[in-house]
Amino acid sequence: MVSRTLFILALLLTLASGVARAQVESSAPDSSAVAAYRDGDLETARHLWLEALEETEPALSDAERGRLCYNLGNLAAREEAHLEAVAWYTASLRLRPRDPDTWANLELARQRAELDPADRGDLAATVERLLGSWTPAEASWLALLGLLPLTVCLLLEALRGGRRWRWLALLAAGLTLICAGPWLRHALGAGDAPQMVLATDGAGVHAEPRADAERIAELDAAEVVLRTDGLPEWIEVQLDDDRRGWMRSEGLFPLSR
Amino acid sequence: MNRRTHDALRSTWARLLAVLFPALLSGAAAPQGRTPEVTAQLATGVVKLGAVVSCVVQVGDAREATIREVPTVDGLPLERISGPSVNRSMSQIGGRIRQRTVLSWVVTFRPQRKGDFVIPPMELDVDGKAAYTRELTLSVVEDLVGEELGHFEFLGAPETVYEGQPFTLRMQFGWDTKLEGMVNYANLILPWWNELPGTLEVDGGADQPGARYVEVQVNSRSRVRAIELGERELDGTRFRVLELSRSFVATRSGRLDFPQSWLEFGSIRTRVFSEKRETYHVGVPAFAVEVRTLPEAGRPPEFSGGVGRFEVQGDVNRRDLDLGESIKLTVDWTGEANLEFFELPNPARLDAFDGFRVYGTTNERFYGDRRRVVYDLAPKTSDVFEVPALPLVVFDPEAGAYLTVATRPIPIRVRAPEGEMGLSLEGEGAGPVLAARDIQTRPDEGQGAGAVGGGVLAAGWFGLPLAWLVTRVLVRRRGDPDAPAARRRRAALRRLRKQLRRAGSAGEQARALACFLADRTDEEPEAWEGRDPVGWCREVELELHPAALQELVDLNVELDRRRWAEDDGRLESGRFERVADALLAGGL
Repeated sequence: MVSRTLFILALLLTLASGVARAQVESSAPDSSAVAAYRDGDLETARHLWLEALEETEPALSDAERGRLCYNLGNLAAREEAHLEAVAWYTASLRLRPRDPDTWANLELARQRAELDPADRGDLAATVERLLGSWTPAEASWLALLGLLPLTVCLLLEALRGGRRWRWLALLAAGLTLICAGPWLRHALGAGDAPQMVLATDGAGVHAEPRADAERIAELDAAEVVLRTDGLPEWIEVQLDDDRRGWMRSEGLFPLSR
Repeated sequence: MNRRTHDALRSTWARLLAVLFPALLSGAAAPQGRTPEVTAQLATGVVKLGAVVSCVVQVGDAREATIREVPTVDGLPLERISGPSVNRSMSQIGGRIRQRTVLSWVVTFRPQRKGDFVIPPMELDVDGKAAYTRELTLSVVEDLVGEELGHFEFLGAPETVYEGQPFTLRMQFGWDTKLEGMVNYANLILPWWNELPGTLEVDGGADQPGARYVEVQVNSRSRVRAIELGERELDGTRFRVLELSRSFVATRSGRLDFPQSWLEFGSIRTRVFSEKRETYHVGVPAFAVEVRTLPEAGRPPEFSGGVGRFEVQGDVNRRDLDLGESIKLTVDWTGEANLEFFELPNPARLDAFDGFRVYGTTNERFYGDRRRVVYDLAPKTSDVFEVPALPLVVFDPEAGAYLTVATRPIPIRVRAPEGEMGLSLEGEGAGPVLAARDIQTRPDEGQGAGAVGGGVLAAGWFGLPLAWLVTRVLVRRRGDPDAPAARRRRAALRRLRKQLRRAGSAGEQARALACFLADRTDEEPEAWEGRDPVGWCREVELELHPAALQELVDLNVELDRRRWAEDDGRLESGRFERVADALLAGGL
């Protein structure tokens, strides 16, 4: 009797959750895109998600834009366009840096694209990930909060003096700098327009925006460069050694979305 | 420049060249891209009075060059300059044709007196820019005597070497042991020293353990360390013998000329106004080393640029590991070879390492006699049972062929944690560790608070130190807050409570109260023994609350009564604290 009751309860809960999920999916602003994706109509889903991403009235939040990028990444992965999926997930992480689903799918997509992991796990990668785990708004609050211990220590140093408070103020200043790290990272890269190379076998950088112009560099797949200028079909990019060159826009994926 | 600095510079230079060398060797650099090389070599470092001495000035990899000026040296007039002669050579390396042009002049001097001469740098115009030779030294002697008293020879100088092949010149020199008490001066006169075009000097490695080193002079300028070999009998004569070695790598084909070298030794006695010099000379005839181009036939595309006799050993830091853990493969290349200059093999480009993820190298160093690299690898699956052999394609001059030297495969065991199948990809059979996550259908409204303006942060970062400075200055106008008196003043109440807890009698409580008052007024506790607080306040013009003052007076009276008229029993502590709080609130 008891087991039957439990079974019925479980069944009801399952049904209820299914209904709730269906309701959530149907009430989401991109429900048509989700439905198309579920039905396997990937072209329609892509079209609708891209349309939603370009929507400016009302402007979507960064988190919502990140979600759409993530979904587009899944769509690309389903089409086995792994490099494109890597690009969409990377774009998504710029907007939602700590989303665990995006990280998981990014690593999977990179694996399938035969790229090194995005998080290599070494010290430099860990520091980079720590600094990049904050949205600009969070980073600014973190920077502000980082000032709090410094304020307290400086106030006490001014009122009480002494070596102890001086040392604590120094430590607090270090903490402030650390807390300001993510914000500084965002501030320094504020105007950047990073582009990811999508060509599987790399892409050439030309001295001029002509196909027959001298090739000055070769970029590997998934390498990220900064856009400095653009022409129809061509984008001027800045290389690591500060040189600039032109690349065909079709081989580049803008990561700022 | 001391030796350590010199070695450090040489090592840095060598490392820099290690990066450039493969490109140099493969002919990647275009002729017009090379830096012109200017050298000057005297035909001999010692010449008899009356003879002429010639100096060969060479400029390599330049489009045009002229000698602008040969400096005038007193007693060593210039006789003539002949040239330039142009020597053009072409070689094919790595499928590229490399052309090289060397312009040569012969500058002849005729010494007019005996002595040591320094020829300052000659100025040349090379492709429109000024270039200079090194300073040269020349000894002019009346007669070259004493050959039988000295010993000088080159050991192991090869007749031919290949481009990139290192070779070592060992010079053994010394003098008759019968002169031992007399010889206080030795100078190697080596016109080719630092003047060998088309070579790189390489680090000879660490000092030999147990060897005794002595400093000798080279070309009357620099001092180098030679190994003392002790006494040796040569052709029936006992000599004190020293050895000096130098290792080179030939960077281009052609002929390397080593002009006549000399050992000058003897005694120099310096007096106040004169110098008495008695020197002997022993020479080694000039010789040459032929540098051959590496054969194009049979050169594999993966040729590393390594030339010489290579030996290799590999080891790993662990042989039993869990899947996902990394493994460090340490590879040591040793042998008589250009260890500094070859291109390292990259496991990521080798099919044999497909079962590994290659994270690159974590450490790479050249130790003089070995080059060590640590590769960071991680097996992708638990089906990996060995670290494969790491091959390096080199040219062996003895065999005259390209060979592959490789580490031995190292067996390992990779354990897969339960439920994990490895880093392999979907479709590769083992199944993925990472599972794809579904699309996200819930709207993400993680808006949170808006960003703090950059202006607010800037105001905080710049305003806070400013506010701190202002507060600090204002506070310190009233004295140093960290001074002992100020610290005592701040801690007075805390100290009172502590002393009261310990106090077992009215006398000790009176003492605690006196201490509290003294701490707050920067006085000694004794000053408050028997003091009338009301009179003191009037005296120092301090206006305390009358009730608080009266309470203090009453407390003192009560304490005195107990101490002197009764049993010295302690009062209730709360009363003291109430008085103290009231006094502090009143401005004490």
